[in-house]
Amino acid sequence: MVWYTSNATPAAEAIGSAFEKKYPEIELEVFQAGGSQVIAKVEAEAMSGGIKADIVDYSEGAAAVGQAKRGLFQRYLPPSAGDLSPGLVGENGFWFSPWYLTSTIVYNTDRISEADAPKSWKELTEPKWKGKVGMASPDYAGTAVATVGIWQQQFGDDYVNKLGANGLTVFEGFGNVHESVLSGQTPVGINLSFRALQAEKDGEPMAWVTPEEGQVLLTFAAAITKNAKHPNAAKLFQNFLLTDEIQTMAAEDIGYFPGMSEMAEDTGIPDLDKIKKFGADLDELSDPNFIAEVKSNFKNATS
Amino acid sequence: MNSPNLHGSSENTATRRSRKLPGTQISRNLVWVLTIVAIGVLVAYPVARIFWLAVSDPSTGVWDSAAFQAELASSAMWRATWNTFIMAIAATALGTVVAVPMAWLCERSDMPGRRVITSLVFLTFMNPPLLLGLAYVMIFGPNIGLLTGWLQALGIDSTIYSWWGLIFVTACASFAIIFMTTSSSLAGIDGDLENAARAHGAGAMSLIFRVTLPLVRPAIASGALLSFVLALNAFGVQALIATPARISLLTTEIYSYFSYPVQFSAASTQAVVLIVISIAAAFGANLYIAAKTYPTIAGKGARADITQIPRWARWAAFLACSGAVGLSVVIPMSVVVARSFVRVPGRGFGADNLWLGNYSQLFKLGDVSGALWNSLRYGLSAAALMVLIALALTYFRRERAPGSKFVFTIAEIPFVVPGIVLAIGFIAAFSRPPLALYGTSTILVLVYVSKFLPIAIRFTDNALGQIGSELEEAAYAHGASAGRTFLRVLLPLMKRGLTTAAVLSFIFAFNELSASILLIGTGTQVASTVLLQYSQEGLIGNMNAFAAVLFGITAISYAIVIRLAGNSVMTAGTN
Repeated sequence: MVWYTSNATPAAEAIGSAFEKKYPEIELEVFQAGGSQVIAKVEAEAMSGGIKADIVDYSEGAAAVGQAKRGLFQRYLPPSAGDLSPGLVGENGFWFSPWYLTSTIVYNTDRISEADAPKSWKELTEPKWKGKVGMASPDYAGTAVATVGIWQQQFGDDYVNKLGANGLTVFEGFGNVHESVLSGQTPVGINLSFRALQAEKDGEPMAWVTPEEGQVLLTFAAAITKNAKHPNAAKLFQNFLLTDEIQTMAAEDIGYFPGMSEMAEDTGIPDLDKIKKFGADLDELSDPNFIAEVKSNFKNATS
Repeated sequence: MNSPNLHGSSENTATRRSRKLPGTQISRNLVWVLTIVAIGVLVAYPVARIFWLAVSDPSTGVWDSAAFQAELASSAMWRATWNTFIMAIAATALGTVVAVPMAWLCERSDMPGRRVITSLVFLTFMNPPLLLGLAYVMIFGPNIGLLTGWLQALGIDSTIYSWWGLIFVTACASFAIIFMTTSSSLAGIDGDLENAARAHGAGAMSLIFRVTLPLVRPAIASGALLSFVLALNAFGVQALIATPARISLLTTEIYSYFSYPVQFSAASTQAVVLIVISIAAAFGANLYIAAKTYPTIAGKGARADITQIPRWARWAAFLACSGAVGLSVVIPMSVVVARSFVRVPGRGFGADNLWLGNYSQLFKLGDVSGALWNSLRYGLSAAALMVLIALALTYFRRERAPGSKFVFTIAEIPFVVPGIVLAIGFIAAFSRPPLALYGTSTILVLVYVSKFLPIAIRFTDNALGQIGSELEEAAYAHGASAGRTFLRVLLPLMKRGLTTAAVLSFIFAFNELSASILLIGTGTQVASTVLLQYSQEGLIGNMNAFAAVLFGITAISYAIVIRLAGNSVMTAGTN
């Protein structure tokens, strides 16, 4: 069975080896890369000889909405999908998100005290943070597309313009942002929740803040492709993602917020319910024209 | 220097021969046909798919030039094109100014340490450009750069994220190719020519500027062209530096079309623009090269002499050359190695922040050794194929085989196509029977051959261009067949050029990143994609550790090649 995933390397490997351990008779092949690369590979295959993967799994849910509409997926939801938190199941059951992420403000605790750290998204446009903030480019990182898109929905065009005018440094990917915050190149960054949680666990000098307006809530998408060669194994895999074992592991070892509603309390990561957050209008976010406009606004604001 | 016919004997190309054994003629034609087929499959077909993508709707596959027209009408695209052009010209100019004198000093003077300098220039190649960029971000990056303070003390209020940073790092990554072509050509010069000039009273300077330099001009031009095209297309460095520097470039624009919503047509259109620019550049350079290439190996030539330079100048030259390799490889690699032992970046190099964990984690994170092994296998297979095809192409062009000029031009194209677009062309071309190669390891080998063939061609071309046709004619006059002449006369004379071509082809294939990203599948990861993965995920310690391991391996293989093939292959003359 072939699984294309944009989960980070450690996450993809942990999930993959747990699956192989549970189902030794199924041979799992994993292709793992950044979100945009996985999406580009799927699109290129769809255009050419058909998608090779049985399961695709993006860290940016919106891309799946459009692909589901174009008939690239088959309908399947695990029996336990009913227990997923609301908003995690795609229209007509073509995909679901096994977990959540957020994108939020992080800072280097060696260089900035907690009292001094930014308190809100709006604050990042103030002179105090001029030239000190880094984020990933929506041109490369899928989760940055969603983040900028949600800003646009929440704050309007003007926000990215002000960020750009305040010397926002745009990096290729979230990994670069992580590195840049740790090294102090940009002591403040806009990054993904699981990276901040992981950094904290590893003893790295990084912490997140929940901005006054809230953290940006992001969803994944896992789907079985229309012409999957191993549909039954793929279904087992989808079910497996929602088992207690994997939900707990994803929370504890990786730092994802579990999607199964009853899991939230005993996994040792912050309770998502208690974090102020705002999510996307996923329909708009999956509209290619809206996203193209968001990306182009962002580019204009930062060049 | 307007007398191209230095030996007063014959044309550059071999004269046609009428008396031939029919069997030889047939097998020769067969080899030529096979070469044409190889170029057709590896180059023409996937490139045609890219052109078609630019003017069709990818989901339906029917003609639709709306995206094509919109892209060509976009001022942002032309601004990016202009920026790209300026950047590549500047980096190439800088590279040429540094590389040509260095090549002469290392090849033809008695400068101390010239072997070491040559080896280090070679090592700059083995360094993925992405690493160079990351190291320079540490050195000249904003806020924390190790030497950014020095810049500010000098009144330079900018960081590596700037035009100078982009040009500097690009030149660091590409000047070595100019050094290679130039020094390989310098080594092939017939010493008799220079001796004749000396006998006629030419001084050292006039010898260099009136004899030596004109003889190697084609090699300089061909190196500069390669460097220009490499600079156009150095995505790794550009994404790392141009994005934060807010400089829009064609490659970064193109890659932006690969995130959601994926726009293959717009990306292909921009690739077509890049193809047009580089074909124009290649056309100009090839005209120049063809007009200025003189055969200089004519039978028993003397090995060119080493020029003795004054003592003070020797050491000054040594310092200057050391500075160049210091900036392009020694300093950045030291930063990479030092950082591979750092636990938390940004907390300095104190004993409590150093550990070996980055290395031990390396082998827990996925199939690192598998990726290394793959890179090695694919790189070697690709290098072997590239040298064979390049040799055939240059040989048949010299023989003026029908259509050879055209095939030659076609073969140059993929080098300039951004890797990710080339990958899309390959996926489109090789996903369906009878050529369903996508998803196998073969497709990686083929894309490497397709992309880097021009590198191999430059070296086989230079090597063959230097051999005067009178040697072949002598062999024919003594009744040798074309095949025998090729094997016993031409091939031995091209030994150095071929070895260099093979080694460089291997290195480029080994480091290829942007096409590999989309063509790797399960079990066919390569070292470069693993490196990118670490960089994208912020596993910087692991990335540096892996890079250090890679660098160690390539340096060792380089030493083995030198050992096996003899020093003469890389650092001394042809004979």
